[in-house]
Amino acid sequence: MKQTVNPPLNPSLNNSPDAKTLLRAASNSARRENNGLTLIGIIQTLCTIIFAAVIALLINDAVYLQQDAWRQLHWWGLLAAVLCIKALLPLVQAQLADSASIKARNALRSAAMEHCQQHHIKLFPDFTAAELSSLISTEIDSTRDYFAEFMPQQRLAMLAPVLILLACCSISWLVPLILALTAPMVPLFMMIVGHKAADASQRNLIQLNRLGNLLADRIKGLNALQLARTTDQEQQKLYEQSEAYRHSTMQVLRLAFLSGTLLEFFSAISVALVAVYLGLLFLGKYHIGSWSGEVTLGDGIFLLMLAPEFYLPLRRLGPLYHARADAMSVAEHLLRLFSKKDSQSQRTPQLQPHLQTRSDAHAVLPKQIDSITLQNLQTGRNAVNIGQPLNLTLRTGQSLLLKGPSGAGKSTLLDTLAGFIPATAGETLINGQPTTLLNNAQWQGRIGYMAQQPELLFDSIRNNLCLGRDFSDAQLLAALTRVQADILVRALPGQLDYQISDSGGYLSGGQAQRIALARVFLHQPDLLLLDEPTANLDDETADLFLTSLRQFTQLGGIVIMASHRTRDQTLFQQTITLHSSEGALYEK
Amino acid sequence: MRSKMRADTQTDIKDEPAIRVPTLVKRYFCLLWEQRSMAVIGLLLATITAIAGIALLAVSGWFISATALAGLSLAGAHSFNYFAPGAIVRGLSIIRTTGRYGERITTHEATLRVISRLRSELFGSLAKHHWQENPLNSHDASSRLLEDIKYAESLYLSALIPGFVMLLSVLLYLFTIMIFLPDIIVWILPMLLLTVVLMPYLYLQQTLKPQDSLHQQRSQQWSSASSLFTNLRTLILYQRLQHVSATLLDNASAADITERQTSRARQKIMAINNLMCAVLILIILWQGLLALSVGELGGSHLFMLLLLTLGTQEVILGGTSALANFGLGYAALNRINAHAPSTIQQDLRTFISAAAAAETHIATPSAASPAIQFNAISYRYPQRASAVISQLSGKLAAPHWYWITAPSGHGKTTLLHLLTGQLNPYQGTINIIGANAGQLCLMPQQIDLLRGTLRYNLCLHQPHSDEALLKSLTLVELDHWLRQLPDGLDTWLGNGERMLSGGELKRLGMARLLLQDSRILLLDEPTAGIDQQRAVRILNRLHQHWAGKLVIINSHDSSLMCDSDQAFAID
Repeated sequence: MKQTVNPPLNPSLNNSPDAKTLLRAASNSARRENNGLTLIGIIQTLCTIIFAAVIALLINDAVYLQQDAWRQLHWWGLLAAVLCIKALLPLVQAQLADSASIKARNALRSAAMEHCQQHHIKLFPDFTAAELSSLISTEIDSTRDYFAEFMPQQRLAMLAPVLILLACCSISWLVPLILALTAPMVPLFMMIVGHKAADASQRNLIQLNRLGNLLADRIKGLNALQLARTTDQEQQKLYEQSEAYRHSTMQVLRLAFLSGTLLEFFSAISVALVAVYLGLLFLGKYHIGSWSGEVTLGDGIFLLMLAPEFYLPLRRLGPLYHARADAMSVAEHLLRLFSKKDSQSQRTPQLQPHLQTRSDAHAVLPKQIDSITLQNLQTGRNAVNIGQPLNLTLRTGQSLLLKGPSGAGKSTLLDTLAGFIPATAGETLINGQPTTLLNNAQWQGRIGYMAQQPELLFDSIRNNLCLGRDFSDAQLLAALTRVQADILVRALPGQLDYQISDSGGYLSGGQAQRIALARVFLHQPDLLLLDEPTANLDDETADLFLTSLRQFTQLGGIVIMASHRTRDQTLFQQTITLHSSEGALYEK
Repeated sequence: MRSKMRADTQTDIKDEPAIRVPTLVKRYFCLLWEQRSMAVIGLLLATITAIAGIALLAVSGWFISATALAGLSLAGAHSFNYFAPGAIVRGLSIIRTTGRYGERITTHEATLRVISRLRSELFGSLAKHHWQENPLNSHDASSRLLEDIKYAESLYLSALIPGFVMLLSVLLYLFTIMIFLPDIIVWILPMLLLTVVLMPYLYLQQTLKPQDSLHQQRSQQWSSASSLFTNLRTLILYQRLQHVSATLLDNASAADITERQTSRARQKIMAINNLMCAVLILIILWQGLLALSVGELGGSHLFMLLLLTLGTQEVILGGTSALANFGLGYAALNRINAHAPSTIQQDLRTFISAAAAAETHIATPSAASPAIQFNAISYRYPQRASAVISQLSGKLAAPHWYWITAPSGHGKTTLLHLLTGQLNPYQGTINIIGANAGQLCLMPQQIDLLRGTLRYNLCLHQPHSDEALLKSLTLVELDHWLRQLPDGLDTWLGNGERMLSGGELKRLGMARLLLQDSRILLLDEPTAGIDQQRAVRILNRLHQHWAGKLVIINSHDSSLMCDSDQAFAID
């Protein structure tokens, strides 16, 4: 027989066909805890059955037979023991459930993170940075209740009713029949309701997204509204959108509560039916349903106590509906992330580019980079060519300006040169040697990169400058002085230890850009790639920036910069104008 | 005389305690009060449902015990009226079912209405504040308004309702026990007090204590994720991606562990509560059996009391977390409140009508034309040692255009913010002559593009005719661009839609300014990103369009000044 290759331990999360499978796969990473939880569920149900049996026995003895057996201590010992176990088991259960949920969420996070590392910038613009951040943090965090509470309760909801039915069978056949006949109605109705609820909750999610986007956008652009003095009108608009979200939420809730109510109904009606059936049986109106024909009060008590327990686990699932809906939407989101696979990395064996630091795929780079040559280099994204093939050579100390309208391929060329995305055709030569740039860690270590938005971590200025490498304070300050940011940094609270934050704090766009430039001077890359670094700067700061660049090339660096600004041209020896349709114009 | 007026306003502000935005919690309950009919119906339904549920169990228990005892003798079986109890049992089960549905719908409806109002009011209070001194963290603010505010729902939905239902059920339970087993109240009362008062209090403590650190860890986790995804290229190039992702995953696990500790602490309290409930059952059963044996309790009542106890306990256990939920909702609202602006910034500028100005001879060349006069104003950003602007005086009057041409970092933008009242000088006075607050308009340095149609982005809720929009777009040479747009004025712009280049944005900002009915216009770096020839053409057109108005421009490019313009140096 043909031996199939062992599947990976975790039947990979990122290949799941649908949200349900994905969540199940994540939950499987905590199989031990899940089994433990099932076991605890069984013990709990057994305790309930024993409790009912002992109560039935004691009351039957005292009320029905009018004997004194209830005074025997061992019954009370058993009762106390069962009640203690029932009281303390949830403690163990919660602990296991929490571990299971932590494991499952870790699995989801690592899988998502690994995917992001593999596909890094190729995820943009399908995803925004804010979207990915929320997915990795808030959204995956929010699946806690699903893994810790919904999943165990769901397993219990399938097991406990069976055990209770079996227990009831020991006395009567009609009561289990009543329970068993009403039970299948529940999933049936729930399926019908659930189907409608799924549509409604999809619409609700859209409304929530709309509201979220509107809020974020209007708060970001608050100044424009303030200047137009129309914040009151905008508040009214937001209220309307908020109300629309409320309406769609209520639609979902009405359906969700309907399925909960259905359970309540069956649970209540089963208690009522059992009570009425038993009452009439005791009164001798009929003699059906029991095995022996003789039903004692104890039997009745046992059956009546178990009847509500039959539906209890299912009823507890109801309020956890939110947990399930949230987890499903997170899973859908993750699926969308995982579905973003580029054909390139699947075909080549380089599945983990960053671990390939010193693989044979990349020849060792020369110590000194003297020239970079592009030979018919064709760039593109997702195998679609953008722009025309390029031919050029840049030597130490030279600089190249990329011009052209947006969409002409300026950023694509920069990303290709940085080895983030593959070239669709052509070659790059370093010192005349053909070199693969894609995911070449050695090459990437020699590059500096700056974009329109300065890339700064929410960390201290020191850590932002060093980025994991060691530098002395003197070196840091020297680099800052070179870009005229030393005075600025000295004025900040904490100076080099000033924490850059989300809100920007005391740093203006231009100041942040200067700190990013100081990082370039500190690390002295051989090649500096710039993607419209001056677009958000006022002219004066931009000119200052260009002066610093000139210094950089004078120190032997190579600069390639994309820019719209006409004033930026003076610095550059070579200019390429990229056009989306026509060929690239090359001028010296 | 004016200086005295100024002094008065200052003392006013000192004497008056800063007007505090009423705390959100107060506001929440005000709004809930507005929804009182629905809120009270929800509360009633919840109570009825809970009581019906308990009663269903108790009556069923009594019914089968009574029938079983009656069935022992033929006569008893014959005379037993089983119709009434049967009907009661059926009725209770229907009340429980429909009550539950109605309760959930009404309570959620009431809560969501309150939150919807609260959300828009919070936006309103954010929007009334000027954020020039401490920039608003927009992600934080919007997530508070979208997500954090939902915690407020717990105040009514998972605190008031279950708490009230629990207390009422316990009272009714005590009342019933008093009737059937008056002797054991001594045993039961302290136990119930413990479960209803002490346990919820302990639970509250266990919940609130770690909540802050958990909240902090979670937001730390978000910002490190955001940091990673906005710096992807740099992190790859410096081979830091692995490291930063590992840190992120570690942070997440640490927060998970805090969460687990919280959950464990809460479960411990719940376990103690469960144990007390177990003891209560044993007491009821033991005392019940004793009372039965001496004939103080009817045989059919014992099982009924036991089921009553079990049913009440389910309600009690559901209510244990009520106090903690109240605490959580309260803390969440307080947290949101702490970020909301606490004071309303006063407008310290003095507006003088042209006529009054002529009378007091502070006069402008022509009494009708607007002017700005500022005397020895100083401004320092909080937590900064040195002042950006110190002792600056000047008088700018129409019909000239003024160019403020200091190098960056010398307070050009700050001056404009002071003139528009977005910042207040800590010394000195600003007089606006011949224009009211609405007639002084600013084109900021950063033009915000809002997600919406081009029409929305130009009007921003103000009513303007299409002709006016077209005219302003033509003045700033955006008419060609407009014709390229697929849906003209109804084309969607902004994040996720069509974006504008830096120069186009500036021109959109100018078009917005052109639409305002203004007498004084302030422009902050209006021509950055626009090429020289076009900038000259546009400025020439604006000169004609804004004839007779006071125009102040921040720019470091003085080559764009024309002959009639004047320079104003800050230093």
